[in-house]
Amino acid sequence: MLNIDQLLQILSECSGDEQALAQGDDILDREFELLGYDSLVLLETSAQLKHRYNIDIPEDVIRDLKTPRAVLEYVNVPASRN
Amino acid sequence: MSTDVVITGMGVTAPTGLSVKEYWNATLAGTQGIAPLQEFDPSPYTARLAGQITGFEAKEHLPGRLLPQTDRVTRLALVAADRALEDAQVDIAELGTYECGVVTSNATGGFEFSHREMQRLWTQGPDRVSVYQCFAWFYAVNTGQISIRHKMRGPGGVVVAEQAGGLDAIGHARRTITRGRSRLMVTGGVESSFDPWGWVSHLASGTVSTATDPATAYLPFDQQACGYVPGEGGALFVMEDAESARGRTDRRPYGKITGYAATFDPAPETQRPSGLRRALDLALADAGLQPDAIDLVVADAAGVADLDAQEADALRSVFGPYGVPVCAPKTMVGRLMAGGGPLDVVCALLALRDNVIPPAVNVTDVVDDYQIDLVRDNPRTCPLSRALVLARGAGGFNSAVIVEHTP
Repeated sequence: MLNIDQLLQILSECSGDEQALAQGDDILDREFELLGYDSLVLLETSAQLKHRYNIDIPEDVIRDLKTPRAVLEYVNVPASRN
Repeated sequence: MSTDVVITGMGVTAPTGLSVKEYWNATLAGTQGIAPLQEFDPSPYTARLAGQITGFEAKEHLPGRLLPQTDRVTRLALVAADRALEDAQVDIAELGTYECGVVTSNATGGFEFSHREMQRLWTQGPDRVSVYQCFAWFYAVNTGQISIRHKMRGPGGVVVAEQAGGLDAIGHARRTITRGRSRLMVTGGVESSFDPWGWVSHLASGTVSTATDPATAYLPFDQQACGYVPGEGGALFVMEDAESARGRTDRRPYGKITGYAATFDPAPETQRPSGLRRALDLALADAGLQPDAIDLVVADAAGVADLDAQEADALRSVFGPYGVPVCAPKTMVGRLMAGGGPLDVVCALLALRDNVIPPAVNVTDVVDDYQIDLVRDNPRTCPLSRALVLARGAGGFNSAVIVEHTP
């Protein structure tokens, strides 16, 4: 299981944007692109998810996950992957 | 060239100052910016002195988002660019995002960042290497980050020519404007590579001074010349089409860039003379000037006897014995690779503005045969209208820029 706080912590470290942490639940459905997280931030995030939580999101998959909620669902609800 | 090109903004990051004013005051005062390396223990290395920037806290100057993806060199470059654009009081959006470009020089890239990621690669594995390594190491990254940060989408480029590259960037930016491809360019160069891996790369030149006393380590044109001290930092400029600049601001520019040339030395085994004299002649021709129009030369000041002799020869043959005042501000900060030439251009422009030549420090015993008028000990006050800045890079690069005061 991955929760939003854990995801935000990683996004914050990978992007250098500390404000991400302050946004809490409001952030769930906002698109990464609009939040200013580019493809490199997401690649770095997928690497960190692997190291810290042994969560594997392939590069070509994370590219298509547009919001924090989409990432959480991919990780926590295996059925959502199809 | 028919289009006048002017400098309307400057940003400095130097061992003796993190602003133009601080740098200039320190330079006129003959401040020593060379000291033992502080970031790591230099005792196992043959050379231990450097011109270091102290007290630079990137997070005080840049948004947090830029920090995970930048090496120290890029942070310094971004701050210098911010300051230069602020100084020029320019609104890029108003001028047009495609009318504004960036050409910088950098010779060593982001060493500290790369060092850390290489360590991760070999100790923790390839999947632990930061994705930002893909560009943070790269000598083109300063141009890219400045361009992204300020939305300058016009001509972009990077020039690499060791210590001469900074002047080449200025020359290329000027060409971009005179050919009508942009109205405004950010140009110059910044260098910083003083982590242990970067340091051994500097030492590979074989001409870094092994002296341990900052007062005797880097003595260009002196009988005791024993190599040079590497430095970090540099300068970035806002360069504009003069007419375009006049249209948007009443402020007087720092000066005009009226001449530029670059030459390459013949292969050493040919025994043919260095190309420095030719660079000097070509820059004068480009500016449409005779040698007697030049009031000041900011020398490359290699600090290596045979290179000093070559530079003195070139100056003597063009200007005559003791024919022009020679200035060596590098004696205070060391040789800044791509940052060196641009920092010397800052020095030249401010010398023209204030009619004063800063002194070379530490040099006490200039080789008589050189017959050069090296300004030492104290600043010299005299009327100055035009200056020639020289830079030479290991491998055979010679570059010359002529700057003129704008009345």
